[in-house]
Parts: sequence; C-alpha cells; structure tokens
Amino acid sequence: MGTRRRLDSVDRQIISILAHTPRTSNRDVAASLGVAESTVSVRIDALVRDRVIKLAAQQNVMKAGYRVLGWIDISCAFGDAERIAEEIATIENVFSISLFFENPFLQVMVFVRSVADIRDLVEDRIGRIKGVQGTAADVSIGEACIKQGIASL
Amino acid sequence: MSADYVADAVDQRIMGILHNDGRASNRAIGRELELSEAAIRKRLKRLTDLGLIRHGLLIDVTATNMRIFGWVYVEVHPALLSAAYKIIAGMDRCSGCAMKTGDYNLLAHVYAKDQRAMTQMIEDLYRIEGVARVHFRQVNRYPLHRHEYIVDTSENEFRSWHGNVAHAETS
Repeated sequence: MGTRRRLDSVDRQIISILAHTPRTSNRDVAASLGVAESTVSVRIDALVRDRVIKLAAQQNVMKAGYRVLGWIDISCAFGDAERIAEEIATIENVFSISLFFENPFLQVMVFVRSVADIRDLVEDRIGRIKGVQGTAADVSIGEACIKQGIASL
Repeated sequence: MSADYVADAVDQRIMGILHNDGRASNRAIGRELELSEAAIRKRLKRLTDLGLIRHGLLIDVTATNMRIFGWVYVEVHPALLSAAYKIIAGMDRCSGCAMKTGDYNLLAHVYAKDQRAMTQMIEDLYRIEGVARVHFRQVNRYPLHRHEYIVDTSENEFRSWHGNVAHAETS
C-alpha cells in the first residue's frame, strides 16, 4: 500500500462532504468547495479507483430479520489459521473474521436468525473443517451496532 | 416490534447495484432492471424508510491514520450494562459494540492511531462506572469483512464513523 499518493486538501474536503451526505451531486460538492465540477468528478473517480473510498449502500442485517449476532472463537494450530479462515469465509452468515497473534487464533462474527442457527454453524460447518480443534461461542443479548465507516477495501 | 419487511428479488438487485456504486442514479438502476425511475425511487424510499439500507461512505483503513485495531472484551456490573453500552458505542474510537453472553458481557471493536492512543482508550474504559475488567485482543489482520452489511438495533439513530480522515496526510 506504500504506493498510494497522498491525499491533498481537496480530496479530504470531498471525503468529508460525502461522509455526511453520500448522495450529494458532483455539482453541489463543486459549488461548496469552489472548484470545477470536472475536478470533483475526476477526484472521486480516482479515490474510488484507488480504493481509498467506496460509496455504497449497506444493508442493516437486523432489519432483515437477523436478530442474533454470534462470536465464535476457534482454536487451531498457528499454521492452520489462514486456511481455516479461507474456508470459513465461504459461509454466507459470516460477517467478519479476525486473525489474532495468540490462540484462539480466529474469531468469527456471524449474524443468524436464531440461537439454534449457531449450533448448526458450529457443528455442521466450522466443526467439520480440518484443523479446527475447538470453538467457544458467545451471542448478543441486547443492543448491538456495527457502525458505517472504515473497511479494508 | 413490527414484522420484518422481506426484501424481494428486485429489492435485492437494487441493493446489490447500490452496494457496488452507491451513487448510481435511479434512472441508471431502472435501465439495468428494466423498471421505471419512479418504481426504483418508490422501492428505495421504502428500503430507506424501513432502515434496511443506508447510503454511506466507506474509507479504506490505510487512508486513515489508524494503525492498531482489535476487540475489547469488557466486564460490566450487570445493573450498569445498558449505561456502559451507550457510553462505549458512542465513543469515537469504537466502530462497533454489543451486549453478549459470557463473563465479559460487552464486546467492542476499536481502532487507534498508535499504542499510546490505544492505552488511552483502555484507560477511558476503566473509568466508566461499573466496568470491572477490560481485556484487549489486538487483531493481526481481517481475512474477511463483509462491508455490504452493517448492524444496528436502534430504531432511528444510525451510527457512522470515519476515523478522522482529516489526518490521513500522515500516511
């Protein structure tokens, strides 16, 4: 990632406007910054192409009926963690996978419709992956939020 | 709690297009799905009003000045759980928070620009009333983050967070 060009103040001002109101038109962004509309358009295209930003509609899984979040810690040999993560990444209910420096090396965050689905995931999917030595699962019991904002693009 | 609205196949396709390009116009979406602009506008309004989708800006972590990230496990006195959740979820450096089962009854995801800032964050957590134990697990890397999804149990207060991109120059 060392090749990324530095963001200048115009880039940062554009990002700041879009962070608040993502659907602002290029014309309105240009007007509030006092630059040409074509400048805004070129800058946004470059920021998106270089994967600095992504303008995206995101779905709130809670509103789609996935009321339970789960965090499943997975114990395994250090050398198996990356491969196990790759296999888990194909499971559709997985929201994120975190890789740690110590065992349990993996934490898998999932969203499911009910707590019983966690059993299915642990026993039928994760438990069958070669190298998985043990799991420990916790579930959400009330309020939860994963904010919009930063991602690995 | 009202029954969940079930997004149909057309809604799913609209959400898919908008996840790839959040600034796609209603007209362009309509063209792709062979529907009128008005039909797209109506569906989008419903999806937005019901809180199923939200337009947002994602910033790549390497474009921010955040260098340390991980999960903080917090043990809170049970009678003070909701109050602690509110405080932690509202913290600048917290990108997500949830109440959970287990001996640590709150879990938060946090970022910081360096070790010092993370130490400060953890000290702040200990100052919250009812917090008995804090355990930080630094993440090495994220093999997966499905950023087409967000999670929010609150009805109308949607949270976003952009990690102070104003300092991105330092990268």
